[in-house]
Amino acid sequence: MERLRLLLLSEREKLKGYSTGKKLSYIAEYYWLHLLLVMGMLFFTVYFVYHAFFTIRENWFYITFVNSMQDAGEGSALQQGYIDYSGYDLSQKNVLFNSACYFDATRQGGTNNAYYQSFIATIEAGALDAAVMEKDNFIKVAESGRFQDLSAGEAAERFAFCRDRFVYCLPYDETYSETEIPVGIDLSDTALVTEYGLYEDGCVLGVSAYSRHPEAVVLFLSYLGID
Amino acid sequence: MESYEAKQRLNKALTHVVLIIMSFIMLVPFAWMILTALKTNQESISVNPFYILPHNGWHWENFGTVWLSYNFITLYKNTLLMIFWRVVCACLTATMAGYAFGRLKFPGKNALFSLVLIQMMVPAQIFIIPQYLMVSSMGMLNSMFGLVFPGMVTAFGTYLLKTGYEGLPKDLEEAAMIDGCNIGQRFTRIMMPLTRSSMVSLGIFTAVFAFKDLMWPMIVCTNAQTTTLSAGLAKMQGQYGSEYPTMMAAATLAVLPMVIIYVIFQKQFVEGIATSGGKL
Repeated sequence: MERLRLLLLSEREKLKGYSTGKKLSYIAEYYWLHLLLVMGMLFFTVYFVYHAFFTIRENWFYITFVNSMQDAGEGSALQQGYIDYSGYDLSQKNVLFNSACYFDATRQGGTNNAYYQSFIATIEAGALDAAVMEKDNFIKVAESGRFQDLSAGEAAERFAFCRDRFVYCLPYDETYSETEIPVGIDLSDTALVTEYGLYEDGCVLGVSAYSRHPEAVVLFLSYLGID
Repeated sequence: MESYEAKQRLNKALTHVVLIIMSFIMLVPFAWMILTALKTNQESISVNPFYILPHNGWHWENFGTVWLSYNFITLYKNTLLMIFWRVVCACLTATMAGYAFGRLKFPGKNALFSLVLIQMMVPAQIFIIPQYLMVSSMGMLNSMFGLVFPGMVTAFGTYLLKTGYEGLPKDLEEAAMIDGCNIGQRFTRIMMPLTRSSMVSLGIFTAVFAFKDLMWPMIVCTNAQTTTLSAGLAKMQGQYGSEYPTMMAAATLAVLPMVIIYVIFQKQFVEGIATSGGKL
């Protein structure tokens, strides 16, 4: 600290006889890196503070439509309808609908793409609440245990109202179950197919294994007329 | 003598013919993309090989359609900003780490550098979930920081710059030391400017990889205002999945910034590949 004080004093002494222009050019010449660092730090501080106070971090609901034939993402009629139906306050949390996801888990190498990797990442990170896709594709993904077992724990009670729509699969993990378990809800006769035309041959919804908002999934089913 | 010259000429001509054919093969996908962007949808799905050029006029309006449907200005802005910040951060962190590993002596240097090398050996996908959780908990999803975050520190860049610093003669630093330079001055005034070519290589590699990055922007950006060209194009696939001319028009618009950057920095691109021995 003492060293810094002495340096400041000597620099002030040095600048005394200089004109303003010369002072500025001296500072720019010898202290450009320091100025740059201070400006950078100021910029980042303001940026982080702004985001800490003004960014919406949480989601009410996050759903992905895999291989959807129509746009069902941000700003779509489907999303808007759900927001209106749910009455969620978007100034507090987000409602995310994503239809930019394409993979085919039934085909060899059909998952070797960035879409699948980002899809899995959002499930594993606990961000995604639900996913909708074609039945065969869905079962292949569900076999790896990435969707909730709808007959276990809280899910059994929560989704009991749509038991007649359950889609079953045999998990890879034999230690979990050696028989088929319900992992999805058939939505083939809902507006997703009949009104919005997202899928041609029906679709199935799965609740993400690490979903933080399963109640929002129930609300989505209710929005589609399943309650 | 004459037959030797004739042979040389023939060799040269053959080399050129092969190169022209290879160049043609490389250019076909780009030409196909641009020509498809100017066709009608029916023409674009025609299997008639003579329909390479549009038959029913040149449909420039495809570009207008896609330009108006998607906010390309925002996509360009986000992509260029992401590239800029990733390049700045990667060069800054890699040059400092490279200098430390290449020139300084400190305990645990080799062990720490091994950690950097390990980072290069594991697939990038492994880091996605922890990075997502970090960005998410900081409240930086859908932000420029969120986009730049994984590219701020680069193991490849650290390695590249370390090699660059190691190749510089010790006398330079010693002379600066005798002249009274402290470690910061030696680094910023003497050593860093001498590794400019390695930094340019790193900048080019970082820029190209940032431009091509699809997975991270798709995960971290969920709204159209913050997304990049690659992720924006992926979203368009849902909207224009079967309209190939519109998709190709969007793809043509998307590659424009990189083509412009390449034209401006062509010399540095070639030098960068030669310096680092990498491929883009």
